[in-house]
Amino acid sequence: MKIPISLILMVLIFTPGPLLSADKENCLMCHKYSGMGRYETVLSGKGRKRIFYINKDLFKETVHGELRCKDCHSDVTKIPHDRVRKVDCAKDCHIQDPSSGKEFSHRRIAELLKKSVHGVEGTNNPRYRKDLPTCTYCHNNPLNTVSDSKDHLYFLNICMQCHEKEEWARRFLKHQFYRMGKRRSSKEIVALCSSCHENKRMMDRHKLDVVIGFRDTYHGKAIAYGNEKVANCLSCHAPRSLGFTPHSIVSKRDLRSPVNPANRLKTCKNRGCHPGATREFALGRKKIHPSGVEGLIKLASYRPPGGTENPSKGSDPPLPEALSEEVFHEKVVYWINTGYKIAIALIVGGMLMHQTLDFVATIRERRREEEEDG
Amino acid sequence: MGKDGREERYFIRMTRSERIQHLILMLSVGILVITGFMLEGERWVIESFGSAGETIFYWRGILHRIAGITLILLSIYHLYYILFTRDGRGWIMDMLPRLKDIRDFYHNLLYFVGLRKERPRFDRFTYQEKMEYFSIYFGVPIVVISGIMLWTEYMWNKFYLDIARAFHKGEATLAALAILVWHLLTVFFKPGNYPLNRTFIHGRISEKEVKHHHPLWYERLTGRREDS
Repeated sequence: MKIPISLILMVLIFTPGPLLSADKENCLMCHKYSGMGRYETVLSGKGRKRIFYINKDLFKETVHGELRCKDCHSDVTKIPHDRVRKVDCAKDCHIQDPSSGKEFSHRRIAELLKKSVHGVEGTNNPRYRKDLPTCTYCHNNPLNTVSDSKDHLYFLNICMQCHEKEEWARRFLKHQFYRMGKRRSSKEIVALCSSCHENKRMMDRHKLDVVIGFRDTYHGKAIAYGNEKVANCLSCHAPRSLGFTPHSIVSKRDLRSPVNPANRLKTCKNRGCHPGATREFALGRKKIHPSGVEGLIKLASYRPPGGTENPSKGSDPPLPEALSEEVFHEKVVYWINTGYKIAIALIVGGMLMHQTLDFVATIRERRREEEEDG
Repeated sequence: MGKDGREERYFIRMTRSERIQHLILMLSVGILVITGFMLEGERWVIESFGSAGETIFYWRGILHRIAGITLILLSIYHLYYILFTRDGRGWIMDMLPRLKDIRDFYHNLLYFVGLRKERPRFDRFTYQEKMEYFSIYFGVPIVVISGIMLWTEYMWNKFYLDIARAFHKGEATLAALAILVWHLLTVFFKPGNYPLNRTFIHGRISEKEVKHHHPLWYERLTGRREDS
């Protein structure tokens, strides 16, 4: 038996239910179905899975849970709708900014980002615009993950002395708590930054150093343990307490950058991390964590990324002086490590052989003694 | 009691002070090795600690520093012990490397492969024990100096810190493996010792063992040559 589509639609439309009550625009009529989605094989050829299912209860708990769908997806004018464009985070919202009375917008952040090394205007190579992170590459409409802690309830009581609606007060409070706390763990920040900055080909395209060894540094290991006090990427490249934000990161070659040698000492001392830091400590090496070409020891055969486009020319351009010093430093450390590896192999290997021979000889002796005794 | 009904005689191989020093050394080095190599673990091992990781990391650092300071103080005390106490001077005089040790080493190797009939006649300490002992003199300064540098990181050039880290890690790996292969393997598993050579607990060594393994020492102590 074949069921006509119109019948299914009729059933859907007239489905009564408290489930849809908050959904004034009726988007959940379709988007409440968890099977909703498709594979984008035909259009982009990438085979990406797209899920269009919206869990109403979960969405309500997100930072954007108060907004209506069309506030952001403004090009949807009819149901069923056509293909929708990507959401522009810099557009004006229908929510008022209580501080100015104007329509709220993320435009100011978008402008900052545009000028930063991650933006179209600040990047070294605007040709590869697609590599640049968009708002949604890092931000994903997170949940207001604030639990109903004791503090939270304490303050909620204070709110409720004047304000009538508890739901509103709870939401407002959650927003405050959420914004004041640390929203991402260091582990998440390292994973997020590494998702691009460990990609050598992408970094080469933008004439940036690929980050390779951060996770093996002391900071990296501490972060793996879950320590939140040691520096993650943002602590040095965009320290908020020194007035930087993650949206305005600039290249370390930029004089404004907190990791530029001109500002590095201040950055190391920041937040009580290394309060007694000396100039020696901050400026002793050009690179704080291994970055550059994979395995810095290979730097001897380093070619500036620009030079790789014409490999047929052969002769390598001479190393910049600063870089050759780095190569020397890295070589010293490399030879110490190698020296120890050889020493360990020889010494411990020799000991193991000596032990084996000694054990065999001792067993032989003991057998002989037993024979003599018996 | 021995087999022939006589009381078995013992010699003192480690004095009470030496046993306590050994105990402190054992504990501090054990803690240092464990808490130190926790920094070198693979990421999946570290992340398997889950939410306890932060606490573990905190105590790891504290314990490593306490054990490090203990090791430094112990080393200083030991220098005092070997210079200014009678037992200590006896210890270091017996420990000092001599030409005989090189000969012993060579002869022992020949004995292992069957080119000599007898083991070399060892004194109180064999060349193996002397090498173990003096490797501490070599290793501890390296790990202590590099460790203090890493502890006071803010005042050093990052280049020197990287060198310190390389030495600290390399020396620690070498020491840990050497202790495992030469010391622990011997005291636990060398035929005759299993399950454990308990000299480090009670400080005694039986007359039979002395005659057998340290005949020169036996001669020195008793004035008798033991050939049988």
